[in-house]
Formats: sequence, structure tokens, C-alpha cells
Amino acid sequence: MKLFYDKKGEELISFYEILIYLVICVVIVGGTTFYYLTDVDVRKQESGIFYNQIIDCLIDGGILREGFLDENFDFFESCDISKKLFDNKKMYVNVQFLEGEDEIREPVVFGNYDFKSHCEYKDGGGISKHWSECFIGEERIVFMKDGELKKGKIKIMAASNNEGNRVK
Amino acid sequence: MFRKRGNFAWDVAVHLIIVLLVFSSVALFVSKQADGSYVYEEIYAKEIGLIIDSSKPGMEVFIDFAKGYEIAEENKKTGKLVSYSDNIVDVSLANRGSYVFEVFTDYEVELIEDRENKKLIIIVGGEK
Repeated sequence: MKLFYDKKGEELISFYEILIYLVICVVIVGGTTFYYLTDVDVRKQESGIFYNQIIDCLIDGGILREGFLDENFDFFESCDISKKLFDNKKMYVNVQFLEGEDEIREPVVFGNYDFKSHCEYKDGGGISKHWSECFIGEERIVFMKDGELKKGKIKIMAASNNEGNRVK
Repeated sequence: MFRKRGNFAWDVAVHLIIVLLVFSSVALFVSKQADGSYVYEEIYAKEIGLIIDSSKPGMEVFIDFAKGYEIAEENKKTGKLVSYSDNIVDVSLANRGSYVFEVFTDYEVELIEDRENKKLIIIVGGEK
């Protein structure tokens, strides 16, 4: 407390004055930090881009590309997608191949399975900002099966919770 | 606030010094934050990441990177500002840390800094 008194013992600066300065500083520093560290959230856009990349990869002019109905086709290899974000549980994809209501083949599902419920609840908006952002859609397709052309559709659920990181 | 007439000048001096010290440190902090490097590193990393993700092999994309070069110059940042390796875009506009954003596509990507024209060229190659 000596700091706040002069040699004669008179108060140089009052406790309340220090408190006011402190409050002003905390408000300015806190406000600035909050303003400049607010996240730029691109997860919604990323899930939309991911959806489009899947469509471009699977369909060519409305026709399902060859090989995608094979049970052993490699989604990542065929669509130039990196597996890392799916292994790290930051993304999710669910592609269903349907003829009417029947599945033509097993769905293609990779990534964080929790995101499916995020997507289904409130159409991906969710109630928490930490929930993934989703893009859900379906596309009509024509595909070749048993030597004849058939009509069907694919349902795609693409979700992302990929936020960047600051590296010190 | 001021008590005795004789101490008036001393009181004013003490208060001025305290106010100057407090507010200059706050102003320094705010200006450091407001130079934009934190925000722009994140914006550029995510913008470049989304461009790569939405590209097709063989595409060349030119983006305006004027603000990035300007901030890097203010911060006396030397070396590469933007790099890409292992599917990660790394943007650093100051001499302290960087912002990284991971892309989901698996392309060969080359980033060229065209400082003369204030552009960044993103060249998307084929699959790795």
C-alpha cells in the first residue's frame, strides 16, 4: 500500500480510482480480445463444397459412374478425398444408393457417426455451436444393373466440424 | 481527488503518469490486436482451404493477397507467408505463430506468392 502514499503519508491515488482504471482496462482488453478472436466459421460452406465434390465424383450427367456399385470400391481413392479428417472425426459422410426405397448397395459411411444426429436434429443447425454443420440432399441418377439401365437416387449427408487451429 | 493547494502540481503529475501508463499499455494491446494479423491469418487460411477443396485438378486460382502482404510488411515478417503440406494450409503474417486449416481433398497443391502483383496463385494438381 506504500505505493499509494507520499512521504508525508498522504494518499496519492485512491483505491476507487485504481478500481475504475482496472474496470476500464478489463472492459477494453476483454472487448478487443473477444472482437478479434471471434471465429470465422466456414463449416457450413465446407459441408456444401464437400457435398458438391461427392456429386461430381459419383455422377456424370445424371449417370452413376462405373464401379460405384461394387462393394469394394474405395471412396477416398476414387473421389480424391483425404482420409485424415475422417479418421480425426472432424467430418462425416453418408451416401445411400436407392432404387425406389430399396438400397442398391451398402451405404458409404465414414467419419464421426455422432454428426448424423447433429444433421438430423434441426437440419444440421443444432442447438450447440460446437455441433457439426451439415449439407443434406438427394440426386436422381440412372445406373446400369444386370445389363439394363435403371432409375434411382442417391441421398447424401455431408457434415463438417473442421475448424482451423492457431499454432503458437 | 485533489486535497491541498500546495500538492496540486504533484497530484496532477502523479495522476497523469498513472493515466498515461495505464492507457498507453491498453492502447498498445489494442493496436497489436487491431493490426489484423490474427483475423487475416484465419480468413486467408480458410479462404485458401475452401478454394482448394472446391477446385478441380488442373485449375489455377489467383486471389487478392494485398492485405496479407501489407500486414506481413508492417510486422517485418520474412520468409514464406503461406505454405501447404500434408493437406494443411498454413498462413503466417507475423513473426509469432500461424493459423492452420486442413482441407479434405487430396490434391497436389502449389502456392506461389506473387508479391509484385499482390496476388497469391493456387495451382491445383492431380491426386497425390
